[in-house]
Amino acid sequence: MKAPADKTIAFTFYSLPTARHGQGWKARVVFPPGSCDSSSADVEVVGADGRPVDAATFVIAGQSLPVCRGRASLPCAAFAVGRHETGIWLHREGESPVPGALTFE
Amino acid sequence: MTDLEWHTLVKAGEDAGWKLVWEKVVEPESKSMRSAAMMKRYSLTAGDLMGMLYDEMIGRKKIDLYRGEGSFEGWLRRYVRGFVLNADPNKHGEVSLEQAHEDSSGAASSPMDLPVHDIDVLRRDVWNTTLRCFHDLWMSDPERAYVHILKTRFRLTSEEIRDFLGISSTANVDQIFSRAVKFMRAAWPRYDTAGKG
Repeated sequence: MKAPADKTIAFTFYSLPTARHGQGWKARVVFPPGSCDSSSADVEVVGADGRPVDAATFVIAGQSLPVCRGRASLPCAAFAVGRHETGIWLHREGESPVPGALTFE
Repeated sequence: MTDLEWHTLVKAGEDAGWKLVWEKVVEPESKSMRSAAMMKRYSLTAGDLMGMLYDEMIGRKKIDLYRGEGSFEGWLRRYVRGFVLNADPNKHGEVSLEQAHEDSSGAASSPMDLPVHDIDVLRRDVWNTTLRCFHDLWMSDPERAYVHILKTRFRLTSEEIRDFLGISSTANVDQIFSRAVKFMRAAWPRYDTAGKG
């Protein structure tokens, strides 16, 4: 995997609509310019209230990433390999997991 | 004759200059597809246009606004087109006497067309439909969704997408993108509320 040297690529994932108010989330996966297999993408996760999510696990591209104070890290090589995975989840401690998907943003 | 010489003659009100205005600007424009139908509808003649142009150029001294950028003929034509467009009485919130006459066939569109669509609602509907179709695309094949968004939002080339996602070739990238677009188009009618207005 090799990202363009002059562009920052950011994918935005939103939670799918759920019955429980306040369970929503939004995650942004940012690949810095020139990212390669040995690099990592920054993941930012916020809740429905816009605050960083803490003590959670974000599942993307087949990887389970620990989220601490709204931040996680995704190895770029793992993203390339797992790009066919549809499963995007946020597991908050003590709550049921909430699915999400890539959005056109 | 150069544009500058022609401009000088027109500014001075010389017959030679205005004769050229008639031959090169007013008469051709009045016969053009764009203007002829509107002139007929609003009972505007080429002579009317000539008079309006003279008033504008000499009476209101608009002739001084020409700075030599672009052709003088094209510059004058823009004014003439504007006269034709402004002849539409509906643009001024008025009903033309001709259309109001009881013998009028009413062939022209109603002068009091009120909007029936809210542009902001339509935009929101289109955006929501886009998101729904994109979600379906993601669920069918995430790779297609990534390629679609990299092409359309980030304007990456096929080579850059190939390297970023580790796809085998640029031809493969193009094929994936083409399928993504086809998928979105096929999904659109299912969700399109704006078009069903």
